[in-house]
Amino acid sequence: MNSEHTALFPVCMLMLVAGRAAFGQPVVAPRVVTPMVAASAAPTITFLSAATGVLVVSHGAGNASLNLGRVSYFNGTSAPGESSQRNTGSFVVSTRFALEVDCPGSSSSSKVDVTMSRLDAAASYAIAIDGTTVGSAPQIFAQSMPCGSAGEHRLDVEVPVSTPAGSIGSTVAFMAALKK
Amino acid sequence: MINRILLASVLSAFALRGVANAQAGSGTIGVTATVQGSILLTFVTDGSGLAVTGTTTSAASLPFGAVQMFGGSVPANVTKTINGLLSFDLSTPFDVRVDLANSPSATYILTAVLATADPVNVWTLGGSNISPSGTPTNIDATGAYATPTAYTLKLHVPATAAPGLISNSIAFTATAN
Repeated sequence: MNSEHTALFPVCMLMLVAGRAAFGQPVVAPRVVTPMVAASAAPTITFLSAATGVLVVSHGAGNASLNLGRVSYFNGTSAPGESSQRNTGSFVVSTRFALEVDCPGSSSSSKVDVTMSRLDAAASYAIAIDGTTVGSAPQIFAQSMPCGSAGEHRLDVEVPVSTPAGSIGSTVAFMAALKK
Repeated sequence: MINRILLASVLSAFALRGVANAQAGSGTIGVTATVQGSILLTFVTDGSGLAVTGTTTSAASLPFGAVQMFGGSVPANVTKTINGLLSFDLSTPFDVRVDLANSPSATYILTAVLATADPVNVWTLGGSNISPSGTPTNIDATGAYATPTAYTLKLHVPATAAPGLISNSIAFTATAN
């Protein structure tokens, strides 16, 4: 993301130079440049606790975590805001969280497409959001999500009975791309 | 000069378009949990045994009904053995099933203990006398998971025992090896 922001500045300077060379007139650069900078601001993603979900802890801009606590096949879950379902050969722990997208500098009608992907390669358990298993390749999470809006989503973690006891942890990355 | 301006403008336009389309923000959420191994013990009616009330659950009962030493009848799959004039035995098999999740254990230890000591009657489980309460008795040292295993409960009633209700509970514990 930083690399995208630094690439913009040289391009704007190029336009100003071209304008000055062509017409030899005083340049009113700020009026031209400012809207471009404002429009280029990247969307921001914020994770929030859902009313019926586990606590989502924020770790700064765009980063958060949620802890499902102790979970087991026969004893279920221990933390409030989550539930478990026993299947043959696995159990599923479910909770809800909210995701909010803001688009600084964009119009109120702006929208984003949001994709999700799993950053870890642990295959011993599966993570699904809104019923879609999250893989390492980016997948559609939400299309044409209005900037400034938030939505609740269901998170399922499916743990096979063959998974060894102990801590499990995964990171799901979300990318919000502003639609033109 | 005009060509240069046009070229610069075109390049700028393409560059700006590329930047504009790449406007994206990201976020990550970490998901953690602690998976605990767990074990489940259930009672199941044996094919040759008295019907277990609450079969496939962890809290079941074996209702022998009204029985007497001489005469009378016993429920299906209950065996009554009269020991001369001294006592009689009631016995029936029932199954115990133990299931395991998220543990590498291959076998389990099964113990049983009578909830209340019975100084009159003798309670035998799988050949072991469990009448004294308070001390769990080892019933199986290497039980196999996920398969019902039959154990025979035998109640020995002396002829001298007063008539009336005989009721007790047996607590089973399965521990992963």
